Amino acid sequence: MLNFTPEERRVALFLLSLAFGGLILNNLVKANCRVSGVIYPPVQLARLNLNQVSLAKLEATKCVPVKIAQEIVGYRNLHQGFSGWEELNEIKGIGRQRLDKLKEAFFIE
Amino acid sequence: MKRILAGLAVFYALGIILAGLTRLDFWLVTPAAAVVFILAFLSARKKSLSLSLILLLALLAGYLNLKNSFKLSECHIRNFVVYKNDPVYSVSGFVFGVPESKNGRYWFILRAQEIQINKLKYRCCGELLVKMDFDPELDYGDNLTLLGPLKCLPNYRGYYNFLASQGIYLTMPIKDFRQINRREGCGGLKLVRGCFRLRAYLEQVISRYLPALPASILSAMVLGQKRNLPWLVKKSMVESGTVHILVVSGFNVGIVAFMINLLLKILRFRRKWRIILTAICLLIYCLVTGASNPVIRATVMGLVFLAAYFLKREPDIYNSLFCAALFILVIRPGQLFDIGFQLSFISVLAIVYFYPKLRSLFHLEAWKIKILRLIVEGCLVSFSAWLGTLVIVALNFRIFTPVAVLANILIVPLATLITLCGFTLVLSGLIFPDLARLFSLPAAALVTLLLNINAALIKLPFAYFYF
Repeated sequence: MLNFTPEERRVALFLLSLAFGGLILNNLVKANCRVSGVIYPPVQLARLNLNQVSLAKLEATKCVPVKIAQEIVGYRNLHQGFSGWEELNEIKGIGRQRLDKLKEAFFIE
Repeated sequence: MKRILAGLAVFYALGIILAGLTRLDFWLVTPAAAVVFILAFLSARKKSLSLSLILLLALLAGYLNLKNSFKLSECHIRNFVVYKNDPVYSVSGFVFGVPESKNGRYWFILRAQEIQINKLKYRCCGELLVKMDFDPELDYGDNLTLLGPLKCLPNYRGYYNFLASQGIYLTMPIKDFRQINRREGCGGLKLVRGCFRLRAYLEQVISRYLPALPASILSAMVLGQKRNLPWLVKKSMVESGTVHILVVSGFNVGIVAFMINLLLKILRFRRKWRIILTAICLLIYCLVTGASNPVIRATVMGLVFLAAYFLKREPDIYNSLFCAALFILVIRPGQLFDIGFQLSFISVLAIVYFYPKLRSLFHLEAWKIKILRLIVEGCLVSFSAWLGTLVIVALNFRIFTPVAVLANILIVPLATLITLCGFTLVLSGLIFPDLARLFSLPAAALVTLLLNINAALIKLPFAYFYF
């Protein structure tokens, strides 16, 4: 009955290894919440912190023109960082659309 | 000539390039093509002369096809647009493709069927880009009547150049949802509609079991849906020269073909039926992923290989590759100037050409340590693809990525595992939802590892240079 071909055996092995891997990770997450931080990618890998990003990186972002990038860094230095997205509305040149674009590329922490 | 398809494709492509560079009219070249055709027909018995004439005919066919594609038919919607007064048009048609969104902007392509100007209705053809600031909640095939101004795309640069190569020359900005009127019935093909619905459902399956970031990466790698892919992830992948893993390509098509074939084998289907059903599944997968250039290339190559197995003939990778190129260029000759098309074909061609030569240079067959051999083989494949695409990437993206060879060695095997996990997750999510939860954890962990490795690689000194 179990006359698997080598390919079928490899697939079965792959599925089993995935299931075992999942079980082990699931158990680790249950035992220690910090493990989930290792399994799931942190937000820093997909977005930049607006309170720490350099002027050069800010300018390299497609959604931020040079003038606005300078304004953002100036505001950040003056107010010791941003505490929320609404503060960006105070900067001239940042409307709803640009704010949406900024939210896609940055996070505030 | 052993690889006649390769020769035909090369000369056909040369004809397209020639048409792009010269201004000779379509009707001036047609008589020349007719003369060459007659000569080729008459000299059928003289092998070398006949072959040269056939290749010349392929060149002229490429030339004429591109020139013909520039000419719009009389009923094309662009011919109804007047340049004065910016009037409001009423355009009826159906949604062609899935509406897309980015940064709160939405757009879709409308295949026009009827246009109304000043209470006069005309039947028309062609496509236009519809842009808006709100979610229109539309699907492929929805019949619509749109009210608004029609504008010509400016200068055909960047994305607009890409649209022009797709035959889209007009855009309609929509500011209010009342400008969109839905009509009864559905346009387009039912099969395509079903495929897009399947993709939306599979996307939901992925996002049900994974957080937003890994879900967006898996959706891009498995379903070709890059809508939710974060900007920084894409940018960092470009900088490490590994952005190709975020595109559905030959590798994914190969996995689908392998999985379907294996499943049918387990179910004890006969060889003939296995090949036919695998071919059908490949076509459906091509439609599900949006039928982009790399997927069409890989699907056509896969179909050529399957046809060779079906007819019990030896498949040839060059012939299948050039067959895929011809297939795309016959339908849309302008695609030759598209960067995606160029990268997709040149990377495969570079691997097929350079890899065996490098392999024999290093005498890899004689290496006894299997793991070391596998690693070096991976290096050589990455190096071949990098070498082939180096000039195009440097010219178009203004970036030079020396880290790409190392990055590909580390990231491609990981991406392979992630893709396999992605397919397993999707299938188990459909069949055994409880099991899918278990499979989602290794998938998420692998995506995190991939992003971390990529982030570390681009921080290396001299990893990449913008110029």
